[in-house]
Amino acid sequence: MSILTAPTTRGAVASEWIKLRTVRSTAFTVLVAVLAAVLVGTLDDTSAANNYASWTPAQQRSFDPVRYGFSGGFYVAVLAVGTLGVLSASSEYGTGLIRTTFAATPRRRQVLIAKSLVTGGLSLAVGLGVAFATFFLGQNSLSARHLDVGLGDPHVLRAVVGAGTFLAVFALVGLAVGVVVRRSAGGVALLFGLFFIAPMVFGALSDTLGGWTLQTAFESLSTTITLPPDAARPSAGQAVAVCAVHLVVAFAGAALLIERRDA
Amino acid sequence: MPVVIAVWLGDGILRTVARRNGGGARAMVVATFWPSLVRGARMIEIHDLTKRHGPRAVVDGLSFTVRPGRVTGFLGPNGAGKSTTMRMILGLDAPTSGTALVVGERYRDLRRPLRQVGALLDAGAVHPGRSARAHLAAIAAANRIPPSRIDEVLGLTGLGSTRGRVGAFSLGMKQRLGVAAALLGDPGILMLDEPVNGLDPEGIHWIRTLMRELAAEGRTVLVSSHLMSEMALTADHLVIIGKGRLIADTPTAAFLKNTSRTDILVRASRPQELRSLLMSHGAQVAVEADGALAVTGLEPHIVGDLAAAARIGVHELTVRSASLEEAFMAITGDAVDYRAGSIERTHQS
Repeated sequence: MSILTAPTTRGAVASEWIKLRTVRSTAFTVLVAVLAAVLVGTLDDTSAANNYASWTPAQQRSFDPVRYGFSGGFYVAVLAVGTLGVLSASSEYGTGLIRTTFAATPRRRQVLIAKSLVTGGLSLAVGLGVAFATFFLGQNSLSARHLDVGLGDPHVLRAVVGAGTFLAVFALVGLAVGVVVRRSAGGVALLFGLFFIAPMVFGALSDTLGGWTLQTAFESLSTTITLPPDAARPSAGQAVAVCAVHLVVAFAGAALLIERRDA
Repeated sequence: MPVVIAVWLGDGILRTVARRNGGGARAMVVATFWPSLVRGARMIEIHDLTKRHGPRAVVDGLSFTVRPGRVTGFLGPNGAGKSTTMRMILGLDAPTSGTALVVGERYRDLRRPLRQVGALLDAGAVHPGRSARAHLAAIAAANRIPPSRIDEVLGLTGLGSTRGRVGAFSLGMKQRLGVAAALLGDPGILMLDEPVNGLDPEGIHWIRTLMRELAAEGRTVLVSSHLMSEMALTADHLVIIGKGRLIADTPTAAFLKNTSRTDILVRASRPQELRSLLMSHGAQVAVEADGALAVTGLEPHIVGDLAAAARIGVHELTVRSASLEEAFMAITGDAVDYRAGSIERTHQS
């Protein structure tokens, strides 16, 4: 792992961090992610608290007080940081800046590692921040009807940390896709396809395959109730494996192609 | 998949160990601190370099050496392979065969390459949303170049008072920013790809002076251009390529002397007779399409006197000198990839 501690890698990390924080799109993306996830999540939980009494018993049984807050708005956050990941690579290829980057750090896997550390680190921080904020604000709303749970309850901490960490996973997959595809539009399209289209395609083929997609992995990670309404939903352990497989495949491709191809 | 990861990590570790303990390590340390002691110091050495895209050779068996202390012009028509050669020198494109060395090593093996080689490839290669300062700061950080150097190069390139994002820069300002980035590491070798593009006359004068100063400081300066006249003013030495092959590797003065030949156009009442007469006095005479004579090897007044003595009427006697561009076109004529549909050659030499 000497490549991680090499002085040139440290230089590359410093360089990537400057690049990431000196474009407006980064701050904009983080703002969108935070606002969408926290606001929509809190509103959803508030409406659940208000309407819970009028739900059918089946609906009430399947109510997941943690997962319910990680719905629509959190998906926006997932896609926002995924786009951030893609752009951190593809925008350099688009402008030609990648040649300057490789001229400064000719051992290109150090660039890949530096970008992963910076993009992954930022999205992990944002993800955990958003997840905990969404959770606490949501539970605050739910507590009005005593529907709330605490971090110490079964699976709750795993679900909150899992939802936050998934943002970093998705951003890193996006980064690797950006390195492989080298085009912003194509990279974002492929990443979103991986998230939205892959579950439909694989799910249509078989339930087992459908369980091996990023979207189902995210749902499993952020769920706390043991009675899944969807039989195809994999366990949390499998969800971690799904994320790992996506990361390994994406990064193996990126590590191979970043060295092989002419810049 | 774990195999791929293992190979990747193993490959990285092995390379690092080789770099730390191998024979190259000591040379690298020496090269960093005492560049002048090492063979290949401050030089670009290209040996039999070839780059193929499918069957087409973009660069074809190119060999030349760029030496310090002078400006070397890298000349060739568009598509001759200049930019591809520069990218291979920087390790950005992998050669199909052959080697390109800087300071005696492959570029990829340099530890902090920007301190040894500064390059401007494409002035547009900047993120439009970043400021000039942030752009340079990111590059400096990668090679541990002190941030104080950023203000120095901004001042040096006349961008010191620039505010705002690079997206709003003119092409000329982007060229200046590109030069600033190349100078950031105070490198002994500089490589500039078409640096005068988009510059106004003041900017062109500035970059000419800058390149001459950098060379006078003992640096190696390689500057590409497709404009012969520009290089005649700037470069001390010329490397001319066409279709990826070396055409000439010569001092600029020698090239100008050899190629900028002049001749005399003569129209006369009895051209055949005059032709024989001039040839008997040692001239070379070519007959042009319209019957005019193109004479070399005799001074104009001698041609006139000889014609007068033989009572041959002279209708026109014009001294023609080939322009630099014509000389350049003549030498690269067979090596132009994208020739205009019909070029009427009025001048035969």
